[in-house]
Amino acid sequence: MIEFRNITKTFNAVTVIEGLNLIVERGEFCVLIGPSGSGKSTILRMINRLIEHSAGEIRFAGEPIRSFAPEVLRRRIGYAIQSVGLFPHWTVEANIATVPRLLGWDAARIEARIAELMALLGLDAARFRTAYPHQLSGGQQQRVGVARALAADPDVLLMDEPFGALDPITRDSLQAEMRRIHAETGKTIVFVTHDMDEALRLASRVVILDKGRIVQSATPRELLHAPANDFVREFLGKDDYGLKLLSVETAGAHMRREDSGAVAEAVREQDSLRLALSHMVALKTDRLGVEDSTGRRVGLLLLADIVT
Amino acid sequence: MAIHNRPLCLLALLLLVGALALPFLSHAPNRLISGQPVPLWTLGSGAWLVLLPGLALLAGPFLPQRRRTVGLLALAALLLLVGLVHAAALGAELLAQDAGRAARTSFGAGFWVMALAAVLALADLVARAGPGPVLRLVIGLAAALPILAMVLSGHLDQLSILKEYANRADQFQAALLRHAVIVLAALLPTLAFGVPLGVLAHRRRRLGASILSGLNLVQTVPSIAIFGLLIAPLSALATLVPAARALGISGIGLAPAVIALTLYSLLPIVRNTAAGLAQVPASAIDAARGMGMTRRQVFWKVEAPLALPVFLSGLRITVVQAIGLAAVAALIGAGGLGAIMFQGLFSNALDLILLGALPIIAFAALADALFKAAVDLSKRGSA
Ligand SMILES: Nc1ncnc2c1ncn2[C@@H]1O[C@H](COP(=O)(O)OP(=O)(O)O)[C@@H](O)[C@H]1O
Ligand SMILES: [Mg+2]
Repeated sequence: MIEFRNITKTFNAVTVIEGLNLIVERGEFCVLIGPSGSGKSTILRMINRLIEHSAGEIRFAGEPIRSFAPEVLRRRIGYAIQSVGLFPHWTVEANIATVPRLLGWDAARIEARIAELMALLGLDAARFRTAYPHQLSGGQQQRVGVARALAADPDVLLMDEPFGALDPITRDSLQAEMRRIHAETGKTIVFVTHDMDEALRLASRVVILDKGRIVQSATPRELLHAPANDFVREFLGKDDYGLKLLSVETAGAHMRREDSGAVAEAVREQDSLRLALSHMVALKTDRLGVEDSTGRRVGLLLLADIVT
Repeated sequence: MAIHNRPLCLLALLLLVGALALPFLSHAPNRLISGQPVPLWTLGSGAWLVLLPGLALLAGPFLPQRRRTVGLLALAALLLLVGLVHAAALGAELLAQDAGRAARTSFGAGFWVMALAAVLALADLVARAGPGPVLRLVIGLAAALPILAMVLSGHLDQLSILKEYANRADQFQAALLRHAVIVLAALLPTLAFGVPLGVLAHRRRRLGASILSGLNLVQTVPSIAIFGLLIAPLSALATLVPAARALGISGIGLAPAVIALTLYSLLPIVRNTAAGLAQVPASAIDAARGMGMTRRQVFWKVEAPLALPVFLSGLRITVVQAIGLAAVAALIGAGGLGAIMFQGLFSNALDLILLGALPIIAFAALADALFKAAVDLSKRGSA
């Protein structure tokens, strides 16, 4: 879907990205992570030509991005940023309708799309449709920001630390929404963060950057089990490394297919082992039931199976 | 007794002094003789009964300033203001009964002091009650319209200011029109050059700093000096270029007035255009570009509407300032209400000065109120 071929970017003779090669496949949830100043935002903004690359070639949907007019390219790529950037003088619905209006959709189609997106992002349309951004909480504003980015059903979604300024609880629920939206829509997402837990939770692939170069590009599991070097190990952290390992494993993959009717409490198949462990500690128990998404019991999870 | 509103306390004191210690009107058998003081209490009950709302203002400072109380006090101040004009008219009619046609009755110091106190009290109380932009405009109209109605109905005809008006109604109307023409003629080039310069100043910060310091320099030159400085080059232009003369350009009159006014008016427009654009959130512009707005769309859909309130408050300053400066332009023969004012000044006729000055003040106040309301309305949604 997106392909960086030997990309270099220099700002006033200072090279910030050097020889970058990266392919983001259709449907991938690709998370770029690295310390501040490592070039994450620059890479992201080169995709929609908010920043022009200095050398090499970037392809979008098989075509060099410079073969598109920048505006045409950008209207096909959703864009959400940490500071949200809602238009303060427009209502929530007008904000969401930005790109469809630019594309000249008819009113009925825009109406329907606004309703659909507000439902998708868990925004109460009756309350918020005609509200102005300053009447919304930070979390609600970012929900509108994400809805606006998704409005014209773009092929690709670019997100630059979208949840970085939110409190942990709000961030947690928005991360869950993003996972669900990715699963439901199959969109290609390129997501920038400096929070490793967020990366491990969301990514189908994590790209670790340092000083404008890719240090490692791998699935969360591969990353945890085979960090490429000390920099990656450092970045993964020491104290809660074990918990991170558990966070990329699901209860469904480690449960026993045994009857768990005798156990009162249960987690879901797709819940992480980290969550399951947390519940066990909180409930002072060494076993939990496992249920599928319909609430039917499908297995039993033992503490011993988590640890080994 | 606790004092709950100190400014109002001072104004109440001023009201007392104006009512009891100063002459309300001044009366002379003809315009050449200086007037005799006419105290308020000699005018009979009809005149001072209309001033009863003033009693509420005397009690006002000692009442807790609840919203409802403040609203009622503001109403009292408004009624007092209108009542003062009405009382002056009644007094003038009374005095006219046993005097000749040449007799003159003008406002005395007591009238001015009480009127000033009433206006300031109204302003203070309205500010405390904090009404919305539309209600504020309505309050302003509620004060202005009754007075205007009294002027138009002939109720004030016995006051000397209206006698002066009756003597030169044609001249006054022409001057009024001319004043408006000067202001509007200066506003057009101001907007045509000022807005693009403001946008430029915002986009090129360093250039913008030089533009603004240049315009600041212009502001420090006294207006009378600018008018003077323009006489020589413009007369030279008119002499050398016949086409310029054909357009009516000369060293005195409309051309230098409009040029000088434009030079003064540019600063608030350029500065506020640039400042308005500068306070547009960078994230909104980034998002707008990132979603595929063209440069023009970013400007017209995002930057311009978000800069509008600050721009409009610049326009407010410009218009109010231009209405005042246009009066000075009368000195170089541009005409307008200033011409009447200066005529009165040079012939030592106070009523003539007022005939020129009061409409100027009224216009400036009207423009001020209208633009304030426009600023507030343009802020909707982005509070
Ligand atoms: N417009 C710019 N001009 C000059 N240098 C820039 C510009 N944008 C980014 N940089 C530099 O490029 C490097 C990478 O920046 P950025 O991509 O924003 O990093 P990150 O998003 O990972 O924190 C930094 O050293 C930054 O100072
Ligand atoms: Mg960044």
